[in-house]
This record gives sequence, C-alpha cells and structure tokens, in this order.
Amino acid sequence: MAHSELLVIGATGVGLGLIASRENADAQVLLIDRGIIPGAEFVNALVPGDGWDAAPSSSFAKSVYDELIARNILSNGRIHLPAISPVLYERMKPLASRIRLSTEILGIAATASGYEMTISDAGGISKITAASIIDTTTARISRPGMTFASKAFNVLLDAPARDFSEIIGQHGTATVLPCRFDSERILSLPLAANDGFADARRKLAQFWKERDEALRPWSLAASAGAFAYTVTDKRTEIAPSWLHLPSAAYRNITLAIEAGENAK
Amino acid sequence: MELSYLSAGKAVSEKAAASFEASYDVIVAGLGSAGVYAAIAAARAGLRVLGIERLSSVYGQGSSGGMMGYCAGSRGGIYEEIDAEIERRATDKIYKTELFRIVVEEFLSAAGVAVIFDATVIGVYREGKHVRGVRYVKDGAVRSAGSQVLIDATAEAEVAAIAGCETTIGRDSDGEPQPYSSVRVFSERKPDSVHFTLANFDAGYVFPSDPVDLSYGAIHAGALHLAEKFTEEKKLIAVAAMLGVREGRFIVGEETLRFHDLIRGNVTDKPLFHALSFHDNHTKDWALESDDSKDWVTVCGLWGENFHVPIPAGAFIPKGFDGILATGRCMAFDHDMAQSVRMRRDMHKLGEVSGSLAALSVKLRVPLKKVPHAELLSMLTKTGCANMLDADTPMIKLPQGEEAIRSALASGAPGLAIWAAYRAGSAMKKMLVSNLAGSDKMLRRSSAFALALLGDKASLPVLRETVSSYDETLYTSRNPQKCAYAAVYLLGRMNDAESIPLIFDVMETHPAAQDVSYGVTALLRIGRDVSACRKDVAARLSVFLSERITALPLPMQVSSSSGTAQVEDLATVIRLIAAKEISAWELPHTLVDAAKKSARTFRERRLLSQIIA
Repeated sequence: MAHSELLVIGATGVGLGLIASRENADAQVLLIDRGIIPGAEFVNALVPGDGWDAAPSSSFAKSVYDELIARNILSNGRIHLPAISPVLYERMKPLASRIRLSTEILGIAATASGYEMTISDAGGISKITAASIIDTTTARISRPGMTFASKAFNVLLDAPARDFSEIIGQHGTATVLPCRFDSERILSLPLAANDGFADARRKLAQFWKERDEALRPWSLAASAGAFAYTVTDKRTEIAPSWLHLPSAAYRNITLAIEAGENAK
Repeated sequence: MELSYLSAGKAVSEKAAASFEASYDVIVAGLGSAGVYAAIAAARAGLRVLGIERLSSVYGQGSSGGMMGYCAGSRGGIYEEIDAEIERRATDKIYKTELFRIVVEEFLSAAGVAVIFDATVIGVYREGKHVRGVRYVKDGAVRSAGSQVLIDATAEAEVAAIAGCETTIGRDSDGEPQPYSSVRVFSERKPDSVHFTLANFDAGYVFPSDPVDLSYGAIHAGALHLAEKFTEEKKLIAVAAMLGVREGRFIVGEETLRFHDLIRGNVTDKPLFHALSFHDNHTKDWALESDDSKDWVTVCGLWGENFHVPIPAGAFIPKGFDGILATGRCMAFDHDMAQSVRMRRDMHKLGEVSGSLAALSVKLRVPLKKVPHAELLSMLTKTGCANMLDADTPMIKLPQGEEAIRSALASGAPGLAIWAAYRAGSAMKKMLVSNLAGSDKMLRRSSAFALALLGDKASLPVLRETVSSYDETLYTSRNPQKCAYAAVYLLGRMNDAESIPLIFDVMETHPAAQDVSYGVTALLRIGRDVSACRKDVAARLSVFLSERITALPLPMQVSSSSGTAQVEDLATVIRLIAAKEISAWELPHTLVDAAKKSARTFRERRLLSQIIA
C-alpha cells in the first residue's frame, strides 16, 4: 500500500502550492484530483477573481504571477482565464510523479498512525495511507455534505469584431466581470443552492434568450465546468491532521497558490 | 449477487447485498457522443433511463472535447434531429460546443432521461454473468442503482472491464493504441470577422487504462497549449476538458469486427447500419502496424479511401454476458477496424442502436443476444439510423474486370486496382506477370506490388529495384508512404534473404525514423522465417541500433493548421522490438542495455518491462 506523509486532495491553487513547496522536502506528498484541470476552482469555474494588482510574496506563487504577466495573460490587474491552465500544466510536469489526476476518493478511515483512503482510478480501487490529509476542494469531497451561502454559474463571452459596447456591471440578475482582453468578459448568473448543472444550463438558456440589448452583440463562448461558490472559511479542522483549506476561498489563483505554499 | 470492481487493472468480485437505492430499466454510463443517443433511444421507447456522466455536461468530445465539426460518418438517425435544432438556433450567438450542451440536455430532458453529473462508475453488481446494477461515486459519496440493461458508453470499456468482461487493447507490435490528441478552442479575430474554431494535434501516446500514464498524459497534453505570448487575435476560449483519446480498450464481443475480414469482403449478413469512414489511424510509425494495415496504407496508399462497415448486434454484447452492452469506439473491434468506426456521426448511431437493442430486450423480456434482428432493424429504420446499402453497393468500391484493373494499375493512384488484383487472385496473375516485362514503370511497380501481396516471387526483381533506386513515388497525398518503404515491407513479407544487404544499405544511407522502422521490421521478419540468416541480421542490427542510431525523430500528425507537431523519438521502441525478436532467436545483442539508457516515456518503459519480463 502506497504511503505518504501528506495527502493533498484537489489540484487546486492551494493544492499545487502545497506540493510545490514540498518539492525538495523529505516528506512524501501525494496529490489526487478527480478531474484533469489544474486550478479548476478558478479556471474551470471561470472565476477571474480580483486582487491581481499585488504579486503574491511566496516564491512559487510569485513566479507563476510573473509568468502570467510575461505571457500576456495578466495585465493591469485583469486576467485571461483560459490561458492559466497551460501554465499550470507546465508547472506540474516536474511534480508529475506525485500527482494522480482522474482519481476519485471513495472513503477515509482513521488508523493508529493517520488515515487509510480508498481511492479509484483507471486501474481500479485501491488503498493508500497518509499521516495527514489536506482537502483543498470547494465541495470538501473527503467529507461530503458541504453547504454554501451562494453559488453562481459563470460563462465566458466573446465580442464581435466591432460595434459593441462595454458591458461590465449588472444585467438583470447577472453580473458581467472584466477580463484581460476587451473582447472577453465573464457573465456570472446566480443560482439557487440546490441547482445542478442541468438547472444551471436551463436558467442560462432562458437568461440568454431574454438578455438586454447591450449583451446582444456578444456571443456565449463557453460555460463553466464547475460552479463558482462563495467560500468564507479558509481553514477548518475536520479531524486531527485532516484539514479543509478550500482554494476557492482566495481572491485569485496566485493568492491561493501562495496560501498553499505557506500552509503549515 | 456479487459486486465486481477493478483492482490493479483486473476485475475481482465479492459477495454483495442486493438492495439498490434506485432502479432503472436502462443505465447509461457516459453521456458522450454515443451514450446520449443510447439514453434518448431507450427513453423514447418508454423505458426508465438513468445517465451517469463523469463531467458536468453532456456530449463529451462534441462539447468538452472541442470537436465541433464532423469528419466522415454515415447519415441518419436521432442525431439528425439534434443537428437540425442546432442549425435552427445558429443565430442564438452561442458557440457550437456550448450550444450542443444546451440542446442535447433539452433533448434528454424531453425524453425523460434522469442525469447525474460529476459521477464515476466504480463497481458493477451481477449474478454470475448477468449484470444487475452499478455502484458509482458522486461528490465523495458512494451510491448504487439497479438496471435491466447497463450500457457502457465510457469509450474505454471501463464498465465492461469492471464487470469482468474480456477486453483487449493496442496493436500487436508494441501494445500501443493509436496516438491521442489535444484540442483547444479559440476565437480567431480579424478586423471584420470573428471565427470560433479549434486547433487539434497529436500529443503522443497514452495508455488510457493505466492510471499513471493517463495522469501524466493529461499534464503533458495540457502543457502543449502553452504559448510564449497569448494574443487577442487567436484568443483562447478553452483547453479541452478531456483528452482526445482515439482508442483504448475493446470488449471481446459475441461477434468481433476485424479489418482483415472487412477488406476481404467477409462481413455480417445482419447489419443494423453501415458506418462510413476511412482507415483513420493517426500513427506515423506504420512499420509497426499490422500486415493488413500496411497492405492497405503502405502498399496501396488507401489511408484516405472511404468504405462502409456493416455493424451487427453481436459487436455490442460482451461475450458470454447479459444485461450489459458496450457502445461507441470500445465495442468489439480489433485495433485495425477501430480506426474506421470512431467518427462522431457513427458514434451517435452506435449509441442509438445500443439504446434500441436494450429497449427491445427489456420490452420483449428476452436476453440481449435473442433480440430479433427484424424488430431491431425496423426500430432503427423508423428513425433513419439504419442506412441500408443497395444489394449491389460494395463496402469498398474496387475496379472490376481485367481491363479496368490494368489501366488503373498504370495510373498515379493504383491502390484500389492493386487490391482488386490481389483479391482476384490467380485470375489476374497472368496479366500481372506480363506487366512486369513492359516498359511502363508505374504499371510494372504496381503489378509487382499486387503479385507480392499474392506471395508470387516473380515480383522480387521489381521490388528490389524499387528499393535500390530509393523510389520516392507517393500513391496518395493522404498519409503517403514512399514506394521504397512498401517494397522494403513486401520483401520482408516474402522472406527475401537476398535483400538483406540492400535493406541495410537503405538504413545506412537514410538513418531516419521511417526508413529504419520499415527496414528493421522487414529484417526481423526475414530472420524469423529464414534461420540461416539470423546470426548476420542479429549482429548487424545490434550494432546498428545501439551505436549508429542515436535518435529517430518522427513528427506526429497535426490535424489543423494552428497546431505545432509534437515529435516522438522512435529509437528506443525500435531497439526494443528488435531486442524482443533477437532474444527469441536466442542470440546475443546489446539492445536492451541501449534501450534501458534511452527509455523515458511510459510507452518505452512499458515495452521495456514487458521484454525484461
């Protein structure tokens, strides 16, 4: 049975910060994620975030922040969200031996020296052990049953070649947020607490049909693969040596990476 | 009742309680290109249907995979209704990959299909070989549901493998499925226009049933989208949320479709519809493919030739099982056949057939194997899915008659005529042999190729001449192979020991990936059958591949102009393939040591461990 000192759940900003900061440490760290998209709580949820004006101070987060600027992904405090994932994938390459994507967690049991996890991947069901666990997922998949104050369904909009106006701000129930390029904006549609993706897309289709004149020249380019949640608690102890540090609690992905790097 | 699941890649089972949280007539695992239509077809037939999807939206490659267009595939069926609705809403200003999500979900909802997103199947309940339900995980919680028929639409035969059904994967030479792709969708912005499109290129090899390789494959592919500067002119919309895996596990079916049979006209007499495509394997190392594949692509240049593939019910049913079907590209195909039955239109239709087959089995209360062909065909005819061909329409359009074949053999694209002459066998031999003596170089060469396929030694002088003159003629622009490569392959196929020095000469003069891989596989083949030359071949190959060759770079396919070709190094794989054969001859070589030093990728290490074992 594979053993690690620390099991990190979620290839989130916090999750990647956690494993990057332990790159040269003796402690064995393993990161698992049920999907394949790094920083999904921002990138796949289409959450541009804010607070981009100031660079994070920790080394890995700062180097990612600088790279985003160098590659024209971040400028004047505005972010070109879809381009973050290739940057993170490249950063994951040297860490790949301790990352398992497409891996589900089925259950966790306490042992004398830590925890035993039942996981599932393309090879099937197996068990791993870890002295401690840090769950960085928004949904807290290691201990299901998380509830949220509010959630939204975000979509990416694409402008026509010309003859369109600025749309940042409120449009009925939805809010339009700024992005790196003038031709891209995020539209954030509020949802009810128990809405699933089918409800979300139904509401989106309805909203789109009835959208106001200012939005009409724009195209709906892509919807989020994960919901945008409002997460307030940055740190919860689920059990001894089993923490929930939700990455979505941070203002943007580089600040989440910083939090992961600095986590004790 | 037993619960079956995978452990270290193999199905194991334990006794389990038989109570389900919910029960359905049909459960579809994977709501992608095939699964969506399986669910709609079954629900429209009046059944209670549940769909379980790993991602948070439907339509797989068509939405999350970024593949917004069609390539080949046959017409007719429920998918045409969805395409008509997509067309009708073209002015909605919703990009197609997103519109697919919205419209397809509307169709599923209208048909009454229950859908669970972000959920993964992890176990199968069965009584003996009769599948009774699934176990899945959703938001960290494990759940179960009962089914009369479980449809595996995961594209990887994942559920069938979990259930313990027999599966296969990869080609014979090195066990690899064909290359996977990685897609990004972007908005191409010009002063007067905006165009939503995709870039699609092959990312290398991934073994989709290996969790470590799959994880690394996702990271590797995602990083390939990195640009020095991201621009608004080619503004990224999304890196695809799923890999473009073209091939993975296949079930072993009640009936298994083989390319070898199809190109010889041996096909089912009970087709449900006809898939339509070409031999769309994205591999670049054709020397490592099967003889059938090389006959078709290397010798005849027919990679891009469209043909029909009749699909029988037995290809959906895992052998010996009931209560479970596989649909989509993981059905009972062999590696060569699978290349031609993986287009999105055909996946939609395979999905529809599986849903209809499941519906009839439930309604008529008969095992899946016993569903009457006529009733199933009638159901598929009503939706237009069953595109039956006229009795005189062949699967492959070959020239007929000696004169037509002879004149086509002399043309610049003689492939179909070479194949027709081969198929005609002894009836054409006299004509082919007489062509060898003529002055028409094209006719001589293509006639020699046909004779070589027939195993006729009269072809040898022309084959050798084609190699020694390094004939670079191409029979096609679609995945073209030089005639010299075809001749090297055919000389190997005919065990022509006299050509050994000639083949080594070609590799010495052109120490590149294609020349060396065709040369080495031909030499190994001659050595396998002509034991007298083994010592010489083994000694020279060991030195050549260990010392002379340092790298064999081979660019992968780029399917759209916006991608950059990924380069694979073939050197280690070729060393290992040679090592395997020469070891079987019980002769010394230094190839494993050389390969150990150079093995880096999962593909190379997997092959290395197989050979050491």
